[in-house]
Amino acid sequence: MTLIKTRVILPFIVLLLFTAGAGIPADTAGGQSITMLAATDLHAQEIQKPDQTVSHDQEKKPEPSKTLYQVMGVVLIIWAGIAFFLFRLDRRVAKLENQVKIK
Amino acid sequence: MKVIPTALKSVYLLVPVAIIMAFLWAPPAQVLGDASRILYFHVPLAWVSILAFIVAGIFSIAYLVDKKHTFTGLDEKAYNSAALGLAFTILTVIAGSIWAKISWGVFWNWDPRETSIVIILLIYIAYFSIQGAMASSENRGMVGSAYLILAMVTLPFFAFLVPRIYPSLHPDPIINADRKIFLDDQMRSTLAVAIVSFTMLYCYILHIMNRMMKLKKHIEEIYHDAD
Amino acid sequence: MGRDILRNIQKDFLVEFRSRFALNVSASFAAIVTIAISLTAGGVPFPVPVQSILLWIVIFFSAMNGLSHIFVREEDQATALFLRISVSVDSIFISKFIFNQVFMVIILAVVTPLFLFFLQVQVQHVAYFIFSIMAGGFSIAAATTILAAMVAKAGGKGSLFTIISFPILLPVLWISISSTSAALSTPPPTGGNLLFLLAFSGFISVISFLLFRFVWLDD
Repeated sequence: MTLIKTRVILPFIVLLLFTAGAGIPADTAGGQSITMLAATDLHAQEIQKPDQTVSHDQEKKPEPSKTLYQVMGVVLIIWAGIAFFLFRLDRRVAKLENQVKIK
Repeated sequence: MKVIPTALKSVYLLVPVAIIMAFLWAPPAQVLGDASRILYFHVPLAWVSILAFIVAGIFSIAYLVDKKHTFTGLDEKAYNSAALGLAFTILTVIAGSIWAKISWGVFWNWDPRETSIVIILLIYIAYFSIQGAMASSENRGMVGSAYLILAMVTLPFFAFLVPRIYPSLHPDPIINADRKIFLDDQMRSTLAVAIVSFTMLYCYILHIMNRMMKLKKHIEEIYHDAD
Repeated sequence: MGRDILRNIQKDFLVEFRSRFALNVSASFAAIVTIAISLTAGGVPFPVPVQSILLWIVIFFSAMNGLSHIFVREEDQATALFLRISVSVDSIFISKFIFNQVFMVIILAVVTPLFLFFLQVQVQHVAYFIFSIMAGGFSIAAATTILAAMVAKAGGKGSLFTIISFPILLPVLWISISSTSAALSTPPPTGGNLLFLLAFSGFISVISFLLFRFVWLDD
């Protein structure tokens, strides 16, 4: 009974979705599809927006500065902390799993 | 069965590699300079938050379809994935708004991407409110899963809607004519490594959470048997 | 099934109009908010977008005050169990759905004239305005029927209903606001917005019809 109902209703859903799409004028709806949420193109806009940014950024030297190493060091240390925590958590859970199975 | 947990342990290697690549190997972008390196953290975070959302939805659907309970704890797995997704979404928003501050001068301007991430954030918040309100009910899994599915199926409407709404609120065109991304091969491969390592990190934490959930259930059963 | 639905609707109306609790709360809330806005504005008319945003905020929150009552009442008065036993899931959903739609129409009939009266709104396209209000209300009532059942299961805790409805109703509110402001301004509006609202409400009703059994029935 439920299966039959689902079979009747699913095409209806598809139809409704198309109607919703048709309700939107073509030039705007075509621009971004459902993949908007797919995040693989999430950076598409972030990159191209800097039109308005100040141009003095361009004069920066391409070679890595000292700050870059410092920032990287900080990020690596934070990651080391997280990794240590995760590793201990993993081992504790594994230990508990073993204990429970013995009982 | 043992292969997957071992493979997941590769995060300990992958994440530092991704960090070092992002800072040292990838060249700075033309206009943004070194600030563009947020890309290698922001994009993977956003990808993981959406992946967690989809995984939670799939677990919920499986939970509702699986009437004979052949799999255990599907609702709790959906809950765990959503909890992780919430954390990653908040991180995405923070990283994104720092980047927005650097490149556009404001922390927040309701760009279509920001809007979609806020909608996902709202859905998570509503999901956790309903889960919290039903803490002691046995219908918790059913209602939570039904809500997550209902929220998921409305997302395509946002995909139709968000680009349509924006011209009315933003007089200046945000979506430019050329939607190409200028990434060279080094940037592309760094981004790929970062995405893979963050996905692995998500899977690893989800795996640990699910094991803890299973342990908790098991211990409760032992406790009840002893009574 | 048809007779079940009819009987159920009849019963709901009898019970609701005996006390008129939900209706009174919603209508008085709408009146208070509208009068408060008008009073603080001091008789100065707002620009068109602000008017339509305010109108939909008032409609949304008055609806949130009343629409969950239909299921919360069943749980409060402990009649949900008997309903679950005696009537099939589908007919319960359909009858509650119809009740919520009627309820929403009543709320709209109270809120909109009040708003037009107090805030000096100039409607340019009357038919389009009425259609967009009705379509928006229809979508809100359609989406909140199953959410009301969820909230009732969670114990009907105050603002939980608003929190869980908001992400789902966000597209409805957006589109309704834009179509209302189109009806209030001079250039002739197009029908795309209304089509979107109708498609949304149809879609969400079908999905909630499929999901309702999981929420309503106990394990």
